[in-house]
Amino acid sequence: MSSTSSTPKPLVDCQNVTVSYKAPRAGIFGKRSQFLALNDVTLRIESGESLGIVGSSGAGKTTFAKVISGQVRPSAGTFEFRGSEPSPKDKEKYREFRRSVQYVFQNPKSSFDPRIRIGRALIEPLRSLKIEGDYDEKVMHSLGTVGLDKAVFGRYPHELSGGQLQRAAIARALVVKPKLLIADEPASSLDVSIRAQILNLFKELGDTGDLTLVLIAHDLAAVAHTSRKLAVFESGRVVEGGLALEILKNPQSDAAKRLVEANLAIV
Amino acid sequence: MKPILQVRDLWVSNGRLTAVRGVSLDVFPGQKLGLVGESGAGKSMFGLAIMDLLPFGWAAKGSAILGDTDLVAMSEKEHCEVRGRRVAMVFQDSLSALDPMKRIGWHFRRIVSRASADQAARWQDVSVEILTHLGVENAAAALRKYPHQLSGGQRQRILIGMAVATKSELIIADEPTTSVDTAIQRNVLDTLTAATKKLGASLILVTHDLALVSNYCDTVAVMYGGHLVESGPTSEVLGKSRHPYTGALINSNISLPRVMEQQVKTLPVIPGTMPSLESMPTGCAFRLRCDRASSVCEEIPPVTTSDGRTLRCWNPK
Repeated sequence: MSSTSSTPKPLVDCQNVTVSYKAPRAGIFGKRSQFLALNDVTLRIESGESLGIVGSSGAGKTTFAKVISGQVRPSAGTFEFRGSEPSPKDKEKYREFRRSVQYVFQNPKSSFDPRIRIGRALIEPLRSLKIEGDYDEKVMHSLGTVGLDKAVFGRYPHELSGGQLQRAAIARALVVKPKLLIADEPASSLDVSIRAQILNLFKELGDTGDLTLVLIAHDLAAVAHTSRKLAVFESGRVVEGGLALEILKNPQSDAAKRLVEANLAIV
Repeated sequence: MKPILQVRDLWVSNGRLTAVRGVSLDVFPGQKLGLVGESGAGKSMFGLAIMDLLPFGWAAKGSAILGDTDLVAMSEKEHCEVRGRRVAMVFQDSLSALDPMKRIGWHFRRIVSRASADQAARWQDVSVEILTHLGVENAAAALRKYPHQLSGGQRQRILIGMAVATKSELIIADEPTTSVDTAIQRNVLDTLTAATKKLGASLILVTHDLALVSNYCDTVAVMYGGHLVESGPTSEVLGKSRHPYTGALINSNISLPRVMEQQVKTLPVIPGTMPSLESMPTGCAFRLRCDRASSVCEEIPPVTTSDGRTLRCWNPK
């Protein structure tokens, strides 16, 4: 896709995005009030950037990730990916969008089908997105990128450790050569000694420059290690944004201050 | 001072697999012990063995002496007298530790009336007092709620409150903050340590987070592959670790100041993963991932003790 305007379009452009759900009824005859998961969020993600999203639980981090990956449609406001709003009506274009945005979930154990070998699980996105080429070769290459042995191809998910399986999940996301990789708490269900390995991998991926990375975490240190920029969410709003190191050194909003304070170090 | 819990050569196994391999440690009155390790290190099984709540088929060997009675040799009937009276446990997942069909008050009423019969009639006042102390807002209303109506942090406080209500001399908290948000993790731990202090109880904090231990515990015990590899006063062990595994754990901990000051390119990692119980190597469990390993490590290293610190390693730093 080529952009016709003189300034390059941001990869992701969210303008006043609001997502609301209906809250449960208050009592049998009670009214169903609206719950705002995202409230007037305006955020741009430039191509090649690495953005960390932090906030306490219920702040809207995951909802935002779902919006920019097309899993949730905003109730109000616009979401544009490379200058246009992805719509399932235009099948060709929508498939291109789905290929460009990939998602890594928190728990690798539940994001793999236990009865399907890793190799087949990694071929699946290639097949469903109708990508041409040698599937086995692409999968092998992708496994190599995340530092997994070729033997993993024929293994079942239960034969891998948590860290290996999370790597496989990242390989599955990378196999279709996405533009944007979204990872929702990719390291928090892993062991301490494995966590650093996964975070290093994300940092490496972000440093290559051709992949845009969005990392969601409640662990500030993890985000500070992997992302250059930071957005702090609180009750559905972006309360602070900018360079990660500056925010951590000098947090302005209460939410950011709370997060910095909550971080414990070995003393 | 006499320890309130004295564990000697504790083994936990199901005949085929062994989760805890000869752990010995002491917990003194009022002490806060941090039991650190990754999943599969045997730390939770250790806690469950003390409580005699091991999964079906698993059994403990050795001794764990609480006061003057051996918890391992006890019959189930005797253990019922100890569990929830002298030793209490705070579980990791607050949602599955509470009965979803019962109100919070139901849980408290049973515990308070069991702890002392003369308080049974005024269990509500006692529970409200405990919960208010733990920072639960509107405690009387919380007692009327069902577990799902409370937030994770509140539920965790309820669990701590229940442990405190037993008036036990030892509280075992198994990863009490893993399921709550980082922002309230500190708050929950402040509450837990303040409550145990007020009660005069000792605390065993089971966790994988060294930063928590360094902030909240007096002593630390590091487990790996079922062995207790290093233990001693927190500041000494974390300040000057001798076992390679402890050192590697400290190194791979990502804290904000470290990330900000050093601007590290890559975090130091421990190569490989913890071996599963089926494929535990002979000798030292850490030797396959250890950079100081040599041929002597194929034998199980002996425990050496000096100045209140214990160490199980052939090639310590």
